[in-house]
Amino acid sequence: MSFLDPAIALYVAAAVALLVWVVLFFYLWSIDRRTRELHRKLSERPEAPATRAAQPLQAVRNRREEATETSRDGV
Amino acid sequence: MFSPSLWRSTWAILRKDLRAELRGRVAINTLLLFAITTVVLVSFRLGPLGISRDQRAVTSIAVLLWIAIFFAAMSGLSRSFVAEEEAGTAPLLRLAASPAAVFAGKLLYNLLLVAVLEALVVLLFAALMNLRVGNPGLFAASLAAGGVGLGVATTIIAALVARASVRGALFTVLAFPLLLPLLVVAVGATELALAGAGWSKAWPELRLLAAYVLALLAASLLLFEQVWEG
Amino acid sequence: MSTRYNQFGDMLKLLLGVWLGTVMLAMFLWVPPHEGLGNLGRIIIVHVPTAWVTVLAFLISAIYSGLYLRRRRPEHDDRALAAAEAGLLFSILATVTGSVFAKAVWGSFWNWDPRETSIFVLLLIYAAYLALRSAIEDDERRRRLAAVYSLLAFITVPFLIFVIPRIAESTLHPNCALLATSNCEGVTLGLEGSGAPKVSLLGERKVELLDIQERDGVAIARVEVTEPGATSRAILEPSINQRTGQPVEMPEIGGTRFRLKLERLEGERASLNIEQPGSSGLLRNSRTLLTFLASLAGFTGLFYWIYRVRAAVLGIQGRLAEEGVL
Repeated sequence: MSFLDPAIALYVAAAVALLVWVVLFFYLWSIDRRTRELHRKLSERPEAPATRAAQPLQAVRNRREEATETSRDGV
Repeated sequence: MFSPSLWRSTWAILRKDLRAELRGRVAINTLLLFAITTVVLVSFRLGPLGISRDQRAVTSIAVLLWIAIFFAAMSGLSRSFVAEEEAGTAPLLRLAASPAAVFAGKLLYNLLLVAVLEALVVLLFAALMNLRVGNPGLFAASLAAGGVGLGVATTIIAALVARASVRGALFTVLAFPLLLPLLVVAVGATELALAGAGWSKAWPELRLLAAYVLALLAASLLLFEQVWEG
Repeated sequence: MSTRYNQFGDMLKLLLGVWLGTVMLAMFLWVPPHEGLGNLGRIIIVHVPTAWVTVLAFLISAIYSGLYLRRRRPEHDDRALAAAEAGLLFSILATVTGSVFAKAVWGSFWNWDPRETSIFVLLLIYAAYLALRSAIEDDERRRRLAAVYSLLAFITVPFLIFVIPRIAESTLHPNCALLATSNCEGVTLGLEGSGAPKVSLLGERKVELLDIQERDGVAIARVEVTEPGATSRAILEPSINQRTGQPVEMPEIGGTRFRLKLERLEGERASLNIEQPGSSGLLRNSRTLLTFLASLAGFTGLFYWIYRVRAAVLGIQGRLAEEGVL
């Protein structure tokens, strides 16, 4: 009896799809676990910064305003 | 925002770029050689003795016309910002003019280049491909609308890739998905113009082109400040 | 507090695992074969949700790109990137499943059907977005420029919705079943002297009416069908019961699941159409519909999970880079 026999082909296909999903699920699950573990360790260190630094927007804006001022006088 | 000083700086940037271009002629030479190569290559087999004799071949002619324009534009139009970064003059420009003026100046410069490019490609097509235009006004309108879209998209994308590594390839890769809707509609409008269709028939196409250009222009103006900050 | 939250999250993830596992089984074992497509019809259970997730990812990526440009928080950029990467993954899945299906049903892997075009453009955009990111060294600049590109793409892509009807006049996707708007008209051919043309184009195929015969109230039209590019031709004999007006035989057209249908017969004029495999309603069956909706929900959940995990990994990477470890 071949795998492609119409009588069992659907069951074979279902089994393959299920297997792929199970493998994928546990792969994702393990990555998820390890990521959370790492995240916890990183934030529990005493010297860890609370949040990541956002770009200093205000500094950028100030510089831009200066630039506009210069262009008004110059050119 | 639209103060007299903005117009002055825009004009100054355009003049500066044109003067630099006329000295080196890098962008214009690339554009023109690329266009000539494409059209000549096409015309060898499809030219005066090929499909161009066939009155029904308007679709192919319109597609070929826009292929020549698009790829020539991809080869030359990134110069506007790339040249500034290569020469190291970008920081000075940042200090000397507001972002809006820089964008407007570079946009006008790219639009001029596109106009020159389109004029050349159309002339070459007329000479080598038996280009017969059924509705010249519509033909000009479709080229103009498509060209403005091409100019806007290439300006903002040139600014995006100016400080990346592999610029040339990246420029085309980034531009193609954004320009695909524009190109499809522009080819359609050009095809109608070649076939001699009336304005009313091409109206949906032209409206779509105008809407696309306006949306892209508005988005580019809003986003350019973010791209340009040092 | 945080452990309880983790437990709840774990339960949701386990539920997702069982949920999608059930969908996989139901897709093959519970959903009945489709009337026209047979077992091939099962592919919509996976194909449509992946395409939906691709679009969803594009939306999320654009939203977080906009947020990044406003607030400049690296976390927002992480999310935009994570969504784009998951989007690329799902757009490849949607393209591959669709393409396999297209080969089996329509006879070629790629047809520039409108929806194929739009998913292709999304794929290109994801690829371009990632290419741009990989080409810029400086962290801050990379985030900023990638966000700008994502927003530019978000502005221009919707135009495809208006453009696409110009690329192809009709869609191969089963619109006639789901929406009553697409162009599903056939052609009317006639024998000599009937006033109607003898030869015409039906879709991209040439059809020629050879003759019309009648037997026991059943009219049979002999039609020569020539494939595009004249690669092959075949004589098909679709027939219609003249009393009831119901088609009797609908032969398959060379190597595809399309069928040639004789819709009407008036004297020496025959109206022919292509019966699309999906035209009898892909989701009309309640089991199919239920499994389909479950799959849609499941894939959305799967996308969300992948996206959150990826964003978390990127966050850790960013922290370590900031502290000079990476």
